[in-house]
Amino acid sequence: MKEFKYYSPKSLNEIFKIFEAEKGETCLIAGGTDVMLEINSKKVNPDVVINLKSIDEINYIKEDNEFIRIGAGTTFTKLSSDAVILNSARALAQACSKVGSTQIRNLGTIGGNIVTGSACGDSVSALVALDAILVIQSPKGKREITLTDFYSPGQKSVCDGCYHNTPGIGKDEVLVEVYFKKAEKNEFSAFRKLGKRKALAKSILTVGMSIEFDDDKKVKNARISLGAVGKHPYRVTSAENIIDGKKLSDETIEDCLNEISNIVIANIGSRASCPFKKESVKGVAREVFASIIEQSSL
Amino acid sequence: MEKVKISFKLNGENVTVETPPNKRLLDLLREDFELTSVKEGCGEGECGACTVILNNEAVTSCTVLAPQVDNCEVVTVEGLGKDGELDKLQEKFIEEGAVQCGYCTPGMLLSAKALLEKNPHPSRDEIKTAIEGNLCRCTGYKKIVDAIEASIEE
Repeated sequence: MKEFKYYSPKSLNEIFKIFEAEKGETCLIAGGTDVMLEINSKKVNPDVVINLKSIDEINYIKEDNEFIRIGAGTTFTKLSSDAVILNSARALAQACSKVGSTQIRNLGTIGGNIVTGSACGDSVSALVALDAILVIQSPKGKREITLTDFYSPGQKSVCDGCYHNTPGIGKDEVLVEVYFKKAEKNEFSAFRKLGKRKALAKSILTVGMSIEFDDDKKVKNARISLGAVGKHPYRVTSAENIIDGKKLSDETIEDCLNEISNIVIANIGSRASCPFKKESVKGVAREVFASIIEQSSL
Repeated sequence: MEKVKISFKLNGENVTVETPPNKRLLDLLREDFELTSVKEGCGEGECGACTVILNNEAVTSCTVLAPQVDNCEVVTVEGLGKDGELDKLQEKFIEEGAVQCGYCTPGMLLSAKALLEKNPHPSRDEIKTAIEGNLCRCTGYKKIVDAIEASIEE
């Protein structure tokens, strides 16, 4: 590990003062499960390391009438067992319960999963299906951006330090919150991950879904996300369109699965893993549909 | 390099130490406090040999930066027993033959301890989830789970 200066601020305001005072390369650390490895192996060589674990104001799960709001410093352990998340955002609870191992979930945070920008961030895939919005704060104030836009290739790259994989966040900015709409009465979400084993497995692929039904059990609103089959998790709108306005019959689901498979081929067709993933994604997505149907029939 | 002064509770005692900030909790515990039960395995948060209990939760100490434990509570295997007596978990590990080479044992004990503190009557599946981040290179998992199960208070 390179030598660096260390700060453990108690508030966001304090962080912004540190940003202003320190001119060298700055790195934020929360759970540390990714960035510690990079600092330790000298892939990331910060001059200044700022601890986010000491900042209580970014550690919360709140709900109001319309939204569920999660502080960026909230751990996976908390999210996978929180009653609000389990009831209104099942996909996120399921995704967080599958991250790493017990020890990693006790440390790792949702904000870290987002800014690290891994192709296979489990919570990110679920959050894309929940149409999440990020709140990013700087000394100039707050700005909001959808998670999908945050990862879009069009975003100007302004990153450094531990944000090196993520194009969407600036040097003087901190991700403080992620929020999404609460599930409607007939809206259900689910997430499944395919890994080489149960624990400590990097996702081979992930599928997240959120589906709202009308009173006739027809799909009113669908969002489907895929992870680990591209640079970042993304929505598959052409597959969503196939089930839109229809009942989830076996036939409709199969049509949708075939379209999902086609999208995987289009995105990673040149990769060695494509022949495997284009088939296995159908099985994983079929399980997600089964979980949604089960929830909707209770 | 500017040292950082941190205070935390270590195995029940308040301690204060000055440390260079570029140190992992794993190294702080082994080098500064000579708590060599904390093992380095992979150094990447994958094997669980360096597990400690941090604020009542099992964590891999190789992925925690030492100064991050300021004002926290840390427990290692050295803090499990009391007055020269082994903890019940440790006794059951011996009785059930859950220790082979012993390298994973401290981490296994602490993951199990963190579980039992939160959930005194875990199911076998809950035990397996609690130690899912602890690898045993002797693959003696069955006896480890047996030992944890045997230590559950009647």
